[in-house]
Amino acid sequence: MDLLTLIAVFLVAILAGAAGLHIKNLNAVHRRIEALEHCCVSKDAFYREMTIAQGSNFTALALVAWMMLFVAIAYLYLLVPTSLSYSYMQIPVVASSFMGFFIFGAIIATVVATVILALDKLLPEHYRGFKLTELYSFYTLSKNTKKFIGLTVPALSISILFSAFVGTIYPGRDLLAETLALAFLVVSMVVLVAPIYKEAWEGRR
Amino acid sequence: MKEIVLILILILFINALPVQGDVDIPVDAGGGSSSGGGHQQIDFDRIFKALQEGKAQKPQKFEDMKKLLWKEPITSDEYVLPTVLMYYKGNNTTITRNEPLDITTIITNQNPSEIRRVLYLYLEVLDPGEREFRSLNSMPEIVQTNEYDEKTNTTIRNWGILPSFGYLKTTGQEKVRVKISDGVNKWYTSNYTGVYPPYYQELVFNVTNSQPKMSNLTITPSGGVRYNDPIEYKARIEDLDDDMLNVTLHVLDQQGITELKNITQQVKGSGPVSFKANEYGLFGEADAGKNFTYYYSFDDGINSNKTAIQDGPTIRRGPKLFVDKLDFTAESENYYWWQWYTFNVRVKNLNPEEFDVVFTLYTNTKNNPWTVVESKTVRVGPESQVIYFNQTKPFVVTDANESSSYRVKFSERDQSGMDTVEAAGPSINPKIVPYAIYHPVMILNLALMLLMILGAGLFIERNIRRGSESQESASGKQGNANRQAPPKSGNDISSKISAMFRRGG
Repeated sequence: MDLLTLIAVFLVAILAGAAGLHIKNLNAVHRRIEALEHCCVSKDAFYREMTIAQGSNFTALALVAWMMLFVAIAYLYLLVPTSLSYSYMQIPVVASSFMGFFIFGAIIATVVATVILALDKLLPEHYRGFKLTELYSFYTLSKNTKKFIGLTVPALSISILFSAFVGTIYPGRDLLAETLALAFLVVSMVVLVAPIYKEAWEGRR
Repeated sequence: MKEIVLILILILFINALPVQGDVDIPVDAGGGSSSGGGHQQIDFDRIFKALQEGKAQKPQKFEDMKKLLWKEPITSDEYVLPTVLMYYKGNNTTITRNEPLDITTIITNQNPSEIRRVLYLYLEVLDPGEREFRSLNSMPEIVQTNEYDEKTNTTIRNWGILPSFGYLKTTGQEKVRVKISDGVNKWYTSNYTGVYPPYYQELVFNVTNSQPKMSNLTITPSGGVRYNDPIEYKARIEDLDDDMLNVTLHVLDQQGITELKNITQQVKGSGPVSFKANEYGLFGEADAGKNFTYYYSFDDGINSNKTAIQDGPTIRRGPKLFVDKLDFTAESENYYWWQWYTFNVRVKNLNPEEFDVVFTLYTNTKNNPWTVVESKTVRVGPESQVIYFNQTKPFVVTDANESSSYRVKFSERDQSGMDTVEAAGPSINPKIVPYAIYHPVMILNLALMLLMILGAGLFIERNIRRGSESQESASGKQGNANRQAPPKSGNDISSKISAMFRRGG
C-alpha cells in the first residue's frame, strides 16, 4: 500500500469521523435541551430552534467547496491509475479528447450535486441533520472560519490543477505535483470539517 | 427350387427313418414325457437342425444327398405356361440416357396352386449396335408359387436394376425383354404375339443423349490486365445427363487462328468451370502488349461441341519497378501518437517508358491493423524519384505504447515480383493526453469545469435557499411551501445572477 492510498484511508476516516461527530453533536445538544426543558422535544422542533442562517453567499460557497472537494479527490485518485487499478486514462479515447478533462470533472460534480439536492429534497424534516445543505446551519461560525472555508475553493482549485498536470504527463509521474495536490486537498478537507470537530471538542468540556 | 429340394429331402428322410431302425427320435409334445421302447417318434426340430448342421459342416455330402434325392418337377397335362409380359406406362419411348425408367413385368399364372412352378426371371437388354441380348441380373428374380393374387392370378416385378440408360456410351435403339424359366421350360416375353399396349413383348426405346451446354463465358479482371494479374477464365457448363465432362480451354492468338495453349479439366455434371492463368502459366512477361482470344471445347464421351471464339485477355504493357529506401521521419523523436509522420520510398522504372503507378501507404498497430493512410498516383520513369507521404497522422490514441509497422503497396510489381514493401515503424510513446497543462485547451477544460461547479453551487443554494431562510423557517415566519418569488430586477440573465449575489451573506 503506497502513501497515496494510506492517505486516502486517512481522508475517508476524517470524513466518516466528521459525519459521525456531526450526528453525535446534534444528539448531545438535543439531549441537553430535553434535560433543561424537562420534557420531550421533537426533532422537528429541535432542528427549527437550532438552525442558524449563515447567509446565501456563504452557503453557496460552502456547497461549491464540497463539490470541489469530491472533484479534487476524483482528479487525484481516478485520473491516473497510480494508486487504484482503474482510472480515467483507461478510456484513452475520452482522455485524449478535446474536452475530456472537463467532461470527467463535470460528471463527478453533477453526481455530487445530484446527491446533495436529492438528500435535501427527499429527507424528511426530522432528518435535517443528514442534509449537507444545512451542515453549517447547526454551528456557530466565526467570520474567520467562514473566510477559511471560502479559501478552500481556491485551494481545491490548485489541488485539481496539480492533479490535472499529473494527468497530462501520464504515464510519466511528478511526485512534487502529486504531493502538492494531496496537501491542498487534505488541508481543504480539514478546514471544511473543522467546525464539526471543534464543536465536538468543546462539547466534551 | 431350393425349397422344393429341401422339402423333398425332409420327407424322404422321414420316410427313411423306420427302415434304419436304429434311430429313435422322440417327439417333443409340448413338455410331455418322451417315450422309449419300440415307438418311432419324430422331432422335426431336431431333423431340421441336423440338416442345417450337415449343410454347414459337410456341404459336399449335403449336395450329394440333394442329387440323390432330386425329384423331377411335377408335370401335368393340365399345366399351362404362365403369361409373362412387359408393362410400360406411357407412350414416350424416346428418352435421354439419364431419364428415370419405370419398367415392370406382369406375370399371370392360371394354373392351380398345386401344380404351379416357381418362375425365374432375367431382365435382358439389347444395346445399340449389339447383336445379342445380355442379362442385367446375374441372380434371377424369383416368383414364388404362392404370391399370385387370388382373384386375378397375377403378380408383378418392378425392375429397379435398370433405373435409366445412363450407362450407355452410345445412343440409339435399346430393347428390353425378360427371359423366363419355370425349371422345365425357358421362354422370352418376346415370344408372345397379339399383345397390345400398355403390355409389350419387349420394350423398345430410342435413347438419346443430352448435349452439354456452356454459358456465361467471362474473363476476370476485365479490360487490360498485366500478365501476372490473377486472370481467370470462367464459364458455366450444364449437362442434363450428369455425365463426366471434358472441358478444354483453347488459348489462341489475336486473330483466333493459331492455338497457343490448351488445358483440359474434368467436370461432373453441371457447374462452374474455372481456369486460372497463373496456375497454368498461360502468360509471361513476353506477352505484355498482346491481345489473345479463346474458346472452349467440351464432350461428355458421346458428343462433343465447342463455343465460339471469344476475345480476351488483353495483356497491357507495364513498368518494371525498382523499389528501395523505404523510410519515415517523425515530427519529433518522442513519437507521440498525435504527431505527424512522413513516409517515403524511392522508385524507378527499369523499362525506358513512363507509367502511372498507384502507391498506397498502410500503417499497422495491434489495435488498428493495416489501415490505409494515403494513396497517390505517381508517374514513374527510368529516373529514380522519392515518393513522399507528407506529414500524415496515421496513429490514434489507442496506438499509444504500441509498436508499429508500415507498408507501401504499389499497383505494379517490383524487381522481386512483389507489390508491397514493408518496414518496422516507430514505437509509439505511451503518453495519452496530447495537451500540456498550460495549453489553451487544458486551461479551457479546467476553467469551464470550475465555472460549472461554481454555477452548480449557486444554483443549488438558489434552489433551496438554506442560507437566508432556514432561520426564517425555524422561526416559523415563512416556510418553503408558501415562499414568494423575489421581485424581479430585470429580465436578462446577468440581472438574475446579480440578484443571486445580492441576497444577503
